[in-house]
Amino acid sequence: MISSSKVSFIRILLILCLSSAVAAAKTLEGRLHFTDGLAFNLTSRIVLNHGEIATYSRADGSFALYNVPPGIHQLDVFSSVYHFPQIKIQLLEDESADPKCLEYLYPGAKKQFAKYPLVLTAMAKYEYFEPRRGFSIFSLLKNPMFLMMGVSVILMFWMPKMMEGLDPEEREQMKKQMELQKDPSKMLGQLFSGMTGTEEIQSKKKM
Amino acid sequence: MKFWVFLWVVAPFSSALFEEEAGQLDFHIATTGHGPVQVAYAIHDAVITSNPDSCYTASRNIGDGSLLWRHNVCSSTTGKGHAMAVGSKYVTTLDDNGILRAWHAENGLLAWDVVVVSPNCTPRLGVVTEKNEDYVVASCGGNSYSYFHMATGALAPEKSGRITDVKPVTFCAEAKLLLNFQGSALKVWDSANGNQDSLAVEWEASSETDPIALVTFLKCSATVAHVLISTQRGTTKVIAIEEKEITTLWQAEEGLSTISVGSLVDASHYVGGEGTSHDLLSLPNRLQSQWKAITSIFTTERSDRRNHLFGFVKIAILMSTSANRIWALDTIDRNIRYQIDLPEANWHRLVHGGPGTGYHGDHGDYLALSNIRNEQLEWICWDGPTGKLLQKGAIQLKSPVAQIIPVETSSTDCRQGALILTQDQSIHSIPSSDEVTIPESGLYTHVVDKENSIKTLLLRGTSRLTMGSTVFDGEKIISLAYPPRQESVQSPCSVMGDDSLLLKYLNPHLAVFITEKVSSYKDDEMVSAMFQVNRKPVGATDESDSMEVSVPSTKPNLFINVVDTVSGQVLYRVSHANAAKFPKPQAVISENWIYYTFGNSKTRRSELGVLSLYEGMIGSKGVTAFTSPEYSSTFSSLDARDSKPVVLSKLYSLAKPVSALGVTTSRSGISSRRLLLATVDGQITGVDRKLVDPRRPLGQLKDSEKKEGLRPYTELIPIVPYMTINYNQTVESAHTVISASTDLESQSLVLAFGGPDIFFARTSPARGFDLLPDSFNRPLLSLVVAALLVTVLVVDRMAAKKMKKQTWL
Repeated sequence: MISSSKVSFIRILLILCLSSAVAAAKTLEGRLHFTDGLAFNLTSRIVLNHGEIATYSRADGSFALYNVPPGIHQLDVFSSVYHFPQIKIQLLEDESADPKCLEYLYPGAKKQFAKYPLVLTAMAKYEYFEPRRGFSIFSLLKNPMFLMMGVSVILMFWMPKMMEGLDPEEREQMKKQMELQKDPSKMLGQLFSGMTGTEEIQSKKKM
Repeated sequence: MKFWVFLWVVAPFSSALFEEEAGQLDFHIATTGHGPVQVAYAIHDAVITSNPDSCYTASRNIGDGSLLWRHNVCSSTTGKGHAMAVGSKYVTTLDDNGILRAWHAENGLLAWDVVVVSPNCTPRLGVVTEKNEDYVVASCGGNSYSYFHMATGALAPEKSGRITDVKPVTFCAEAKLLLNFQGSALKVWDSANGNQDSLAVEWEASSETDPIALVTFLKCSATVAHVLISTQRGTTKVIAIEEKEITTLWQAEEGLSTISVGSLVDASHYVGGEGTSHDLLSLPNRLQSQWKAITSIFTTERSDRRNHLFGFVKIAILMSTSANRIWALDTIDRNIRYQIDLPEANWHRLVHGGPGTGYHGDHGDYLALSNIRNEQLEWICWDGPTGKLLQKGAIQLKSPVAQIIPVETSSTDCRQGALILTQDQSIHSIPSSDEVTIPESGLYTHVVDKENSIKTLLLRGTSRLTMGSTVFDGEKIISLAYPPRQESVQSPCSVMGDDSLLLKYLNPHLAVFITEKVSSYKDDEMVSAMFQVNRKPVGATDESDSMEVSVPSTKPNLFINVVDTVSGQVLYRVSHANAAKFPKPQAVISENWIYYTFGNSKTRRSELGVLSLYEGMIGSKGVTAFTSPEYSSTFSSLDARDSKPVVLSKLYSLAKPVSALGVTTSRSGISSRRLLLATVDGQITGVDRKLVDPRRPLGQLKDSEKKEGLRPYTELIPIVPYMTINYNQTVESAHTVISASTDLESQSLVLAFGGPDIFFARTSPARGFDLLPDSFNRPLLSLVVAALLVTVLVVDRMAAKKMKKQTWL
C-alpha cells in the first residue's frame, strides 16, 4: 500500500519534471510554398495535434509554432483550397538536436523523411464541384434512345430506295408478305403450311 | 497512388454540386466569432472589432457590414482571451500564451509574430507613435513592457511617448456631435467642445431587454457620421447620422457565434388554403406547379410555391445560453424572422416534441426554460414559425432540476409542455398540472447522477419506482447521445446477399454514454511502476528468477456504453485505449447504427467506431409461403433475454479529427443515409453508410457479399472533396449538426452551428430522384416539344400528299 506522503512526494517530483519540460519548449519553424516554388501568400492556420498549438502562416509563407514541448506531434495545415501533406515531428529534449520529421503526402501514404526547417508544398487544389459536361455529339451517340431514333430515321430514308432496286417478282412477293402481316391468322397459316408441305401440293395441283 | 485510385472509384458515388449551384441550395452566416463587441476601431473603410474575453478578432466593411476577415488569435485550445491594439495599417493581438501578432488591417494577412513571454500571460497592448512610426507596447502583467516596431516586428527600445489603447470615440469635432447612451437609447448631443450642449437626437437603438454596451464613432465628417452600436446580447449596428436623421446601414447578430442548441421546425404554408401535403403532391398539382415554374421565367417574380409545396421552408430555432437569446432563422430568405430575449439565467433549455411525436414535432410550439436563481424556473411558450408568444410563467422549485421530460399538452394555447423532475423526486408540470399529466400507465425516465451514474425511474401517479441504475466506477460521462425521436425507418430488417434477413434492433429507449477514465493514485501506472522493486526489461529474466516480468500494458481510457434508459442496464460496452481528450468524443444514433469518433493520441489519427445492433437473423429459407419464424411483435426492455442486441462493430480511421457528427434524414427513410462529419478544419463532409458498414469483410468478398454491394474492409475512410457540402466555405468549430426531412424523399436539410459560422444546406444523399434540378432547362424542353409537334404535323401533311400523288398515278 502506498502512503499518502510518498504520493505527495511523487507528485511534487512530477510537477518539477513537467516544469522543466516547459522550459525545454521549442519553436518549430517552416514555410509553405506552391509547387512552382513561389511563397504561399494566403494566411493559413497551422496546427499541432489538431489544434493544441496553433499559428498562422505569414505573408511570405513562413510560419513558427511557439512553446512546443518535447514529444511526438502532428502538424497539419488547415486550408480549404489547397492540400498540404501531414508531418509527424519528434521533438527531443536536447535543445541542440533538430526535430525529426516524417512527411505523409496524403492520408495512407508511405512516410518519407522531411528536412527541418519544414518545407510544405501545396500539392493540389481541392475540387469541390463536379464539372458540367458541355454538349458533345458523342454524348448523344451514347444515348440508346438517340440510337434507336437514328436507326429509324435512316431506315425511313433508305427503305424506299431499297424497294426501287428490287426485281418485280421479288417486289410482288414482298407485297404479298406485307399483306399477310396485316392478318395474323393468314400469316400463321402460311407458316404452318410451310411446315406441313400443303403449299407444295397446292402449287403442283396448279401446275 | 492507391489512395487517389480509391478516391476516383468513390467519387462517382458522390452527388457533387455544380459550381453555379453553390449558394442556391445553401447559405453560410459568418459572424465575427467574439460575441458582443467590446472593442471597435475604424481603419479606412473597415471596422476592427474584438472582445478581450474571446479569441477572435475580425474586420467588417463599414458600408455594408460584410465580413472582411476573421482570425482565432489564441495559440492553443486552452486560450481564453486576448488584447488588441490598432495602428495606422496594422492590427496587433497578444494572446494569453504570450504570442504577439501583427495583421495587415486591410486583408488580415499575418505580417509577423513573436513570443513576448512564456505562457500564462495577462495580455495588455498599447500603441505609441514616434516620428510617424507606430510601436506596439506589449505587457503580460506587472510593470514589464516590450516595444516592437509595428511594421516589422523588430524589438525597439523604450519610447517616451504616450501609450494609447483602443477606446470608444464618442466626440466628433467635425460634425460637432457627442454620443452617449442610457439603457437602450442612443443620445446624440450637439457639442462644440465635447460638452453636452443640447440634445440633437434620441433614438431607441435596441429593446429594453437588450441595452446598449458600446457606442463609438467610426467615420466622421461635417455632414455625416457613422456610429457603431453594440448591445449586451451581441447585436451590432452601424448607423449613419446625417442632418439629425438616423439611417441604419447594417445590423449583425454576433450572438449567433454562441449557439448552444438548435432545432428545425416546418414553416411551409400550403398554397391555396387548406389541403394535406398528400393532395398537394398529386399529379395535377405538380403539373400546375411546373407550369407556373415555366411562366415564371418570363416574369421577375420569384416563385415560392415550390419551396412551400415540397416542405423546404424551415425555421431554425437557435438558442444561445451565453447571450440569453433565441433567434428564428428563415432558411429560405436567410433572415432572422424574430428573436426572443430570455432572462439572464444559469442555464436555458429548449423543449420541443414529446414521447409520441417526431423530434421536429407534429406542432410548431416551443418551450424555453430558464433557471434564474435559487431554483426559480421561468418559462415561455411560443409558436415556432411565427414567434407569437402563447404562454409564459414561472415556478419555484425546492431542489435542483434532475430531468426535463418533453410532453404534449391538452391545452389549446400551448401544445408543448414539460415535466420537471427534481433531485428530491418531485414532479412539476409546465404549463400547469391540469394540462400536463403523467399517463396512467406510467412514464419511464432516467437521471444522470454525479457525472458517472444513471438511474432509471418509473413515474406513475405519485410513486417513483427505481427500475435500475448503472454506475461507471472510476469513470466520468463526457458525452451522450439519444436516438432521434420517431425517426422514419423504412424496413425493420436488412436483406443480405444470400437472401437472409438481419432483424434491426430498434429500441427507442437507447442511449449512448461515452465515459472516460478518471485517473486516481490507485490506478497511477507511473507511481506503481516507480515502486516496483527489481523491475527488469522484457526478456532479461534468468531461469532462477521467480519474478514475473511486467510488460507495461496500455489500459483503455475511453468507454462506449450502450444503455437502455428504461431498465438501466448496459446492453453493450466497448473500450478504447490511447483516446485523446481533444477533440471531444462524439456519438450519434441513427436507426440501429451507432457512430462515434474519438482521437487516438498514439497514432495521432481520429477514429470512427461503428456499431450496428440486431435482434437476430432469419435464414434464407426461414420465411416461405409455408413457414415463418417465431417472432414477437412486442419488446420489453425489462426482459433481460430479449433486450440485449447482437452487435457488429468495426473501427475506421479518419484523416481529420471530427468536432460534430450528424446523419441525414428523409421523409420515409427510403433514401440511403449519409453520415455527416464536421471536421476541425471547418469542413462538413458526407460519408456513405456503405463505406462504414461494420459488415465489410476483412478478406476476399464472397458472392453473396458482392451481391449485397459490400466492399473489402479498408481502415482509412477518405474525406472526398466532392462530398463536402460546404465546399470551399469554412464552418469553424461546429459542435452540432442536425438534419430535417422534407416532403420529398430525396431531399434532406442540414444545419451546422456551434462556432462562429452557421451553415445550412439542402442535400440529396441518393441524388434528387424525385425532383427536377433547379438548373433544368425548361425553355429548351418546351422548344423541343413544340418543334416535334410542328415536325409531326408537317411530315403528316407531306405523307398524305405523297400518298395522294401515288394513288393518282
